[in-house]
Amino acid sequence: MDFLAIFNQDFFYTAIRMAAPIILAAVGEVMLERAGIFNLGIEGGILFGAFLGVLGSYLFQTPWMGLVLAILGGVVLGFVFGWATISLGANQAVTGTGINILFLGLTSLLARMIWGVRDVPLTVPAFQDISIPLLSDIPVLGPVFFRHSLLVYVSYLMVLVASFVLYKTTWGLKIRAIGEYPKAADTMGIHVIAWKYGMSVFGNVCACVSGVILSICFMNCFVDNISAGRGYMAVACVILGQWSPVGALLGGLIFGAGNALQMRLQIYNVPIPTSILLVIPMVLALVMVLLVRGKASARPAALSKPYEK
Amino acid sequence: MKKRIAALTLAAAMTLGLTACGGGGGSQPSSAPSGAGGSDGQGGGDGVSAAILLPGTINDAGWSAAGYNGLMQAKDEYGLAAADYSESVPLAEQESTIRDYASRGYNLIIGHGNDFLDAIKSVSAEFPDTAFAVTNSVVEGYDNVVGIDVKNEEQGYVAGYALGLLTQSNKVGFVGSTEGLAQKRVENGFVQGLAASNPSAQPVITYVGSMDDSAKAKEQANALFDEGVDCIFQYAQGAGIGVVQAAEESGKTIVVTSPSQQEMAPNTAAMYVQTDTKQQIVSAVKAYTEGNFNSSLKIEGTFASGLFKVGGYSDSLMSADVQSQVQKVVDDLTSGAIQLEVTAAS
Amino acid sequence: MPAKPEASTKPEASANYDRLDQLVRRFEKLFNILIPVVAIAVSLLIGSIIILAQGASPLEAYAALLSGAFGNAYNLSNSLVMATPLILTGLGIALAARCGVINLGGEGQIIMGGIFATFVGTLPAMQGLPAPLYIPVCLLAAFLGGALWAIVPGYFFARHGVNFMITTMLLNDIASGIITALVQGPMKEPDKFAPQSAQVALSARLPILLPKTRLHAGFLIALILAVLAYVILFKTSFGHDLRTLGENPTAARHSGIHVFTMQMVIVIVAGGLAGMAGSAEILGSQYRLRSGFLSNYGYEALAVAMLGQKHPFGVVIAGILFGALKAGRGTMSRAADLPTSFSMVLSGVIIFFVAISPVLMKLPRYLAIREMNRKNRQDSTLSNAA
Repeated sequence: MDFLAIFNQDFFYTAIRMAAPIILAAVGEVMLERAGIFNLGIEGGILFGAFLGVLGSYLFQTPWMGLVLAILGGVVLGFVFGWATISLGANQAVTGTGINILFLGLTSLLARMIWGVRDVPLTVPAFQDISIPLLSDIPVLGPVFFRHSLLVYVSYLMVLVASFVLYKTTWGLKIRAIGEYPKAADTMGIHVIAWKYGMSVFGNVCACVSGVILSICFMNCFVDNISAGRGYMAVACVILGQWSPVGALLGGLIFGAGNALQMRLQIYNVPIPTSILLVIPMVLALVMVLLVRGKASARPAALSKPYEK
Repeated sequence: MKKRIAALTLAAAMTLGLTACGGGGGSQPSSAPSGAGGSDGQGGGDGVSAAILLPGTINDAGWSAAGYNGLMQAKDEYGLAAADYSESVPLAEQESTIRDYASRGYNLIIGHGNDFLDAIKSVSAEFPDTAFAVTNSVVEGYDNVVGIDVKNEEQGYVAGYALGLLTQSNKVGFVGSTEGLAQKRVENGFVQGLAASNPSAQPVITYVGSMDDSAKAKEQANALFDEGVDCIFQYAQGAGIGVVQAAEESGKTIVVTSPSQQEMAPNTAAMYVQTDTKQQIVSAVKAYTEGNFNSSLKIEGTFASGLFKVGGYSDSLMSADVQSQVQKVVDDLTSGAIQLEVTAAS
Repeated sequence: MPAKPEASTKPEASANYDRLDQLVRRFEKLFNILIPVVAIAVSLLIGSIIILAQGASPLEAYAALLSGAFGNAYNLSNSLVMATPLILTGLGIALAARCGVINLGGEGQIIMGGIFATFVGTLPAMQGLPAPLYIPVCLLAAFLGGALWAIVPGYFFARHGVNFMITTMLLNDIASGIITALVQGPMKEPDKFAPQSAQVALSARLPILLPKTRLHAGFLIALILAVLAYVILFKTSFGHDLRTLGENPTAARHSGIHVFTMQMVIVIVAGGLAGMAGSAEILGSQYRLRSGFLSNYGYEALAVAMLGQKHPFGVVIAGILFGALKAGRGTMSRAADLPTSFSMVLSGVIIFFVAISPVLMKLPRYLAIREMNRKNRQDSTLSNAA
């Protein structure tokens, strides 16, 4: 077996596709954590978004309404999470855990209430892959980068947008100030609480749209627990990527590539137990987290600390 | 001010939640299992109440759904007084769940999967008048515990045999969910069946590592197609939907596990090999009502005993010759002309 | 560290401050008990909306929940058996949280504990060992297994500041990959096809404390360890340093506390306790290793630790509450015909309210200040009258 043959065009296509929902959720989490809030509840957000995406598409027979509903859901979730962690000063890790368990149950419960117990899940209209004219005809690069679904492009664009906002605008300066020295930011006249709420909403909307990618871009139906741990991976990406959007992108690509690799290693029948191959993405991420330890100072100084005036 | 925002948010969240609930108010779950059911079937099971414990959910499109559907059909056709279920029973809660059913007077309690065997054995002594059955198990020496030896390998064998005849590239894929006992036996039979029909074909065995991650299962199937696999057997529970869709989208042949899955892939699903536990459950109920439920009772889960159903042969994908060859294997398995052994080595 | 109350602007500030402090303390004691109760009551109320939407009766459902959890000796024992791993893991998480370390790795540490205990418990060379010797050896092995799974992320955290939450979380998935591989290969019961280990030796099993129930000695061990944790936390200088480190890291560093050693010790203890939780379930209840033998307990134990206000005895009570919920939820969903996902919604809501309930801890001070002001006003009207 030629090991390098694994890394063909299809490998990179899979890696980029699989990485997209994780990256989008991770970019949202980067902004949230930069403003000093740690959201472990991304997994719940992704599930909620995946469910609402299918619900919207089911009710209005167009995936666009699914997207709209998921964004609205993200806004609501952002306010609820913000209310708990910002206004009430709840422990952020525990709140997140609660949200994860809650939405794992709630989405499954609602899906069954609305669509009943079915042999196979109900299918709804979904987003189709879009080949970008001209670009998608470039040999090798075209099929790898330019034949994806709309929201996959959005995920990668969001990395650029978030980087730009965070490092090149006064908004970004404010957000970073809030995460590092909330008291100082407050005395400078920045409305700390409002900005934190804003980032909570942004982060949760990203998580919900990430769920939409899973349910009505990659698939066209809702399955219980469709997120299957991607929210936790997104949290890992933020730390892996040292709290920068580009870092989160690289982190997401490690998970995407790790999964693409793992799938192909199974196919090549390497003499390693399948269950070990399946955790290759996590092993890769762990190794990376331990390797990039030198810059632990990138962590926002006031992360997970509730802000009190 | 802050409080007002908070209140508004909550209200909005509640409204959203309620409208979502309201939308579904009309369509309750298709079958409400609890309570005393009518005995308007062929009869025979009057007064017998049965309960099944499932490792997964009743809509997992696989193992647990098969157990649930089997019990519900048995209830309708055989006229059970009550048929209840518990889904997604965690390993740590098996014993208490079984005991709960037993102490509430259920006559027949079924553990759907070998995982339930230990717990059922330990509860059974306390309830000598209750009948217990465990699928995927062989039980000896218990008066009120019967094993239903499900020969999953036969299911895999047929799928493997059919795909061996259909493959052009001689690379045939298998996608499983997680590596449980039933999965492994199906996989084992699949490899044997493939070797029987097409010795030069290579089986490519993969697992998704999740019962639910349909998006990942879809990528796994696409990865198989990218590596030259041209047909697939999916046995991946809830995640398997992704495999079915991948096959339909890339036009690759697939063998599925239920007629409803075949409807999702009308152009590429060659056939289905379904598990239907109704007959086994009816056998257990029958033995119980007729007083034959004892340590010598054996319930087989095989083609011969009607556990597996094959059908939906697609004329566009399978020539008449191939169809008859596959049907012959099914007949041979049913008649016992083909006997399969699973090897303990995995 | 009570903050200076606003009331201290009065001339008799210092005396007022002491009285206020006493009042606050009295209210706080009450609230420590009251808050979890309120959190759970509100959650049940929200849950009843869903039950109604499902067309069932909330009263009937919750009555079934109660009877399933406490209805008879067996059900009660079942609740305590479910609580045992939660208490053990929760104790470790609470101790770690006391010094500012959030352990999300309970899941993986439980798995490693289960693996080590089963390995020792099925080792042919040790089969002859008498129970009083065999059981401690198994428990010790489980402690080591859990500690091993915490020590690497612990080292990188304590030495290099690598985020402990994320490394332990990734190790959870890796541990579940390892256990799945082990029960199919090296640890599989010989000559069997099912992916599970052989049963542990009879002399390695934890004895059942009450006949006809499931209550095993693991629960007793958890209680003893809770008392031990209490003594260490509140009656030793180590415990004092530990709390200082959590409450005021800068002060702790300046006062000469060896932070690295402290964090390593606490990480090992937390991992080890979670490992023992895994072994308690294997040696006391399931007797053999299977993939997913205690799934989700690691995350729920985090909620138990927080609900128990990071106090060892609080953890015991919260653990029993969560254990009871686990034990009763099946009965509830069967009685009211609710899908399993409902009990997940209920635990999620409870954890959410547990998380936001500390805001109520601000109430004692508020109440105390109001009480003080009222008294002061009375005093001043009295003196004015005079």
